[in-house]
This record gives sequence, structure tokens and C-alpha cells, in this order.
Amino acid sequence: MKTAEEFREVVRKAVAETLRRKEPVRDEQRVTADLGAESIDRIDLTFRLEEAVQKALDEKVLFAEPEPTVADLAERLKQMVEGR
Amino acid sequence: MKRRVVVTGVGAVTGYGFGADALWAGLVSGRSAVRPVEWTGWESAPVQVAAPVPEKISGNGWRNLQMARIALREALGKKRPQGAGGLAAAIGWPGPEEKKGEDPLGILAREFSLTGPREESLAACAASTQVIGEALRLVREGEADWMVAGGADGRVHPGGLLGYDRLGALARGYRERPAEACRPFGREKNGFVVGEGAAFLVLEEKSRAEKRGAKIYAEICGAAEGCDAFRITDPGEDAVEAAFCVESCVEDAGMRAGEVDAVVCHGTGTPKNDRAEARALRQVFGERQPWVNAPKARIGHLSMACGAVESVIAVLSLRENCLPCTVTESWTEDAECPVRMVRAPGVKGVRSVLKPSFGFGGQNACLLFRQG
Repeated sequence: MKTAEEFREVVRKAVAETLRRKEPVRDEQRVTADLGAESIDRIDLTFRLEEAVQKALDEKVLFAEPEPTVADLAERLKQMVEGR
Repeated sequence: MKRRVVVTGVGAVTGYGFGADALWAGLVSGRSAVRPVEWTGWESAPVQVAAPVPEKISGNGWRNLQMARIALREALGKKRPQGAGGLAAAIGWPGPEEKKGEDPLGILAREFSLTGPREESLAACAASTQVIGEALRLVREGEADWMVAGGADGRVHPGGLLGYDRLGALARGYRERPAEACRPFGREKNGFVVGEGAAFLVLEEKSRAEKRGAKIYAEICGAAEGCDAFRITDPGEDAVEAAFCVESCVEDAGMRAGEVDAVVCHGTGTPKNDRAEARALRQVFGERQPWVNAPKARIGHLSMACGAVESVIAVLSLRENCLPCTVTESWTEDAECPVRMVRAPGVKGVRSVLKPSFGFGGQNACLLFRQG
């Protein structure tokens, strides 16, 4: 079972790869408003997270409003993986 | 012997939101994606409902291109096929408030490194069905290893709604009952609802798909196209050419009409179009009518993209072995357009699904899918 910090690391890495960011991705940053993700990046990011956790994810739930920060995404991912 | 071609990826953006799964979940839920138009100053306009994509869409280029990109990305999935993939697409032009765009297929091919053959169609409401058929032929005949085919379009803006309304094609009113606005093949049908969206399908030669362990959604086994050569906005009244197109598609698949279980109809809800489509189906299938549904009742008419989105619905119907109901409980059959309409909760035992499209200009195109 991954810890909360391990989930955050998974999300930070996936966001950095999706957005091709060289600067560090911080937990408090919002994926669209702060990091500039576009609609297609959400699809890309969902695929990367699915690969990382080996589980099908609901992109709608993952990115539900209010717009998630990196830490929010990690928490949602953790809940999905743990089946909550 | 013809090479067999299978669908190994699907992607969609519709009034139900992003994703083919969202589309399917919306359809089986019985909810409609049609809702009241909320534009300022629109209160007294004749057309009061539409089916826009509910989620915020962002990205480079105009809205149709952005929707295409999202659906195409989803269709390619986590592991795309090896070799040179081609692109076949019908992409709607920019809306009146948008910056003019250039060569959407070139942009998409570059962004997704699609270096294989390129096919484009602007055949109105038959356009994306036509390009999927072209893609099938290219893969079947070995001219492409695989193709990604589909379309994106939407006219959910004042110019779009007023333009179609001037042609007398839209359902007027229904602000209080948006789900009832479009009634394909039903009594009180009085036009369609404007929708928007995109869909793409990955078509791949069967043995290659099996070798790489790809998920196979369905086989695409037939395609045909034709033209009524009658009027610009009306279908041929005798439906002879529409029927010939459907027959040619079934023949191309090496099947008999009696083997077709279901039809995801063009079903616009306009009197002339529905009458011609029902007549064509009657000519082809006779007394043994397949089950039909008509997704435009739920997601609106996506113009050039409608055939692609409805093809995804056909493919998902095969995957789920269920043709979902697309009409409301109040829908009643019109004796002038007799079809075997699926009612709630849907119909099981779907092994083959036909997808015809009939566009302005009398342009006809048809696809046939079966369980892979």
C-alpha cells in the first residue's frame, strides 16, 4: 500500500512528464490554472496515472470541480486505488 | 481473401462530457444531454435547446480542433499500434467568433505523428462515416498498417442555431422539456437539436492487433457510400439510393440483410429525413426489421461528426452486447416512419450493428460492425 506522500510523488512525476516541465511541480499548484494544463493534458495525465497505479481511473472524478491541486489529485488517486 | 479490420481504440467528446465511457454511461442512464440555451438575449429566439459539451475545453486552435484532439488522444490510448498510422477525418471549420484555422488534418497529423495516408471529407452529415469507410479500405487493402478515423464538429452558437433554423431543420421551443425536443421516427417530430462533439476510432488489421495483444472492441466489416443526386437539403423521396448504399455495405461485409441485428440510425427527427431512412430500412430488411436507436435524440446532431460518434456507440453496443434506448417514455411511433425502435432499458443480443448516415447534398455513407 502506497503512502500519501508516495501518491503525491506519483502525481508530481506524471504532471511533470505530461506538461514537459523542467521546473519542480509543487503540491499546492492547480493543474490548469497554475500549471497551464489543457483539456488534452487531462486525458494524457489520466493515462499516465493509470499506468502508474495499474488501475482504470475515472477522469471525470479525478478532475471534478473545484479544480484540483496536485495534492488534491494525489488524494483522489489514493481514494480510487484504495476503492473508497 | 480480404484482410480483416478491427477497432482497437475509441475516443469521444459529447454532450455527456469527455470520454467514450461518459458517452456510454450517459446513454444507458436514460438522461438526455440536451438542455436549455442560456445565452444572454436569447430568451425570445425560436430555438431554445442544444446539446453542448458540458466541460470546459481549452487548447490551441478552434473548438472543433480542440475536441478532435481530445477524442483522438483517447482513441490512441496508452499503447498505440506500431508502424505508420494514417489519419482520416472530417473536422468542422471555426465558428463565427473564432480565429480562422488552417489544415486541421495537417495539425493533428503533426501533433500525433501520423505519417501514414491522409483522407478528408466535407460530405456534410455523412462526412465522418465516409472517412471511416475510407480508412477501412486503406487498412483492408494493405495501404496502411492502421488508421485513426473520425471527426469533430459543432454549431452550438447563435449563427449555427439560426442557420439550421432558417432551413426549417430544428425543433423549436421545448425549453421546459429539453429531453423531448428531438423525436426521431416518432409522432410530433419536428426537427433536430444542435449538438457538438468529436469521436475517433483506431482501425487495425486483425492479426496485427491480436499479435500485439490489443483490446479488440469490434470488427468493422463493411462500408459503402453513394449519392441521391436529388436536392441539396432533401433526401431522395423514394429512398432508392439510400437503400442501395445500405445494401452495398451489407454486401461489402459478405453478410446478408437478415444477419444485421441492429441499426444506430441517422435519425434526425426531421420528417423528410426520417421518412426516407425508414423507407430505406424497409426496402433492405423487409419484414425482418433490425432493432434501431437514434442517438441524436439524446446528444443532438453533431453535423460532420455525427457518424463518428454514432460509430463509437455502435462499437460500444457490441462490446456491451446491448443496444441502448435513446427515446423518452413519451415517444410514440409514427405510422409513416415504421421502425423497430428500442425502448428502455435497451436490447440484448447484439452481434452486428449497421451505422448509416444521410447528409445534405444527398450524400449517403454506411458502415457495418460486428463482434470481433
